[in-house]
Amino acid sequence: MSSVRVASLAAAIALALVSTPLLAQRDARLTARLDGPTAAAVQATVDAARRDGLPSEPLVLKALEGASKSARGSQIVAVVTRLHGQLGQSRAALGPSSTEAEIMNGASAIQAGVSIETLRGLRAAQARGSVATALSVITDLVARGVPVATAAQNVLALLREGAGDEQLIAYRTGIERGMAAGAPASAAANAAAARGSRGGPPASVPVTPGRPPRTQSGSGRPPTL
Amino acid sequence: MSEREERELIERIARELRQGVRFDASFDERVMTRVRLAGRPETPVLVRPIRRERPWLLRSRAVRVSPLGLAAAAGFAALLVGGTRALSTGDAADAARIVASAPAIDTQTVRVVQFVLRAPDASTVSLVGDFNEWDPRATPLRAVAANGVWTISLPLEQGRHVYAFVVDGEQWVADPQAPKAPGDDFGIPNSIVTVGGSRS
Repeated sequence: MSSVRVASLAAAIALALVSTPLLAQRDARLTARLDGPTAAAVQATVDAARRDGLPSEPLVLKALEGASKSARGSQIVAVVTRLHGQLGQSRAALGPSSTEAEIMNGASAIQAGVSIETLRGLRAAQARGSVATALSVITDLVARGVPVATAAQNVLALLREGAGDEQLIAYRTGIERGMAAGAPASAAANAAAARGSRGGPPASVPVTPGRPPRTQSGSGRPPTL
Repeated sequence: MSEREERELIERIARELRQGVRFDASFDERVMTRVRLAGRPETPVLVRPIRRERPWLLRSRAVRVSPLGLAAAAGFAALLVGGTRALSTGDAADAARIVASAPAIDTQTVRVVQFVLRAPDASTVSLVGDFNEWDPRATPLRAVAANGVWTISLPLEQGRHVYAFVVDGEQWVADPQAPKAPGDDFGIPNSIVTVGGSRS
């Protein structure tokens, strides 16, 4: 070696310094709050998720939730392993270019009972944009008692009509208001969907000035007592 | 005070609390002005003349390396890698705390959410969730009335969050007014709050 570019050498050393610890990174939160064997088993699942390009933070948080709830180690490992599987299923259904938020919301939707076919349908209806909000809305509605099929069909229909995130959130808010007024969950869902398809402006149509669509985030009201 | 009057009083308090934290229209601008000012150095920086020649790092130069020198360089690099690894494992919690202490101010993705629970017989109530790593000591609620209303306001990032309350350090309670999270993996149900839409 007679002559080298110092910049190239420095870049190679910097890359080695940065990448080596990242690949071998252990999560100190796991060792701090779980017993040794459980922490090691969860860490192995976290490492597998990283290798597969899946979000790993939900797995760590799920393990910490189990630790705080004084769950047995075997139970924590089983739950984390199941979540890892759901993240993989979600990514497989939504496609390799899906975002972390989409994958995580997809896993939550699967846990709520939403089918893999529904996830594929959402992706097909929204090939270029994100389906994170659509998945979140379906899961929230199921949590409020709307049947899975009703929530999935209505959100899918709204997406196919070109609804954007604001319209989807408005749909959810409409259902919540209907239920607060005493309507059964299914009826509120179908009524809100009918309003969305008839009267709600599609994403491409500008909203009348001075009358923005009402969204949950705009209401300033958290779902608390 | 009769039970009915007490219930009405609690409803009035809850109505007030539900209004959320509102900021006036100039809030964003005031925050950003503070941020810009905070980012400025306190001492003046000397203006250096612009050099036309290539930067030091990009200039070509001849390097002679002896076998002994190469071994010494390899040892130094190994020390650096080992030290960085140690930082990423043993001291990771400290590093995380430092990062967390300076969050980016982004009013588009962070919203203040108010959590409220009525627990008349409780001595302490805390909030746990994926936003505080499920740590029961991290986010205590404060009692706002003598009749057991507990509350806290918390900035949360846009997206879906799972949470629960812990009463007296041991009793886990899902938010009675919020939807339940799907599945109770550990036998104790959680609640969901969705801030804004969802991160893309």
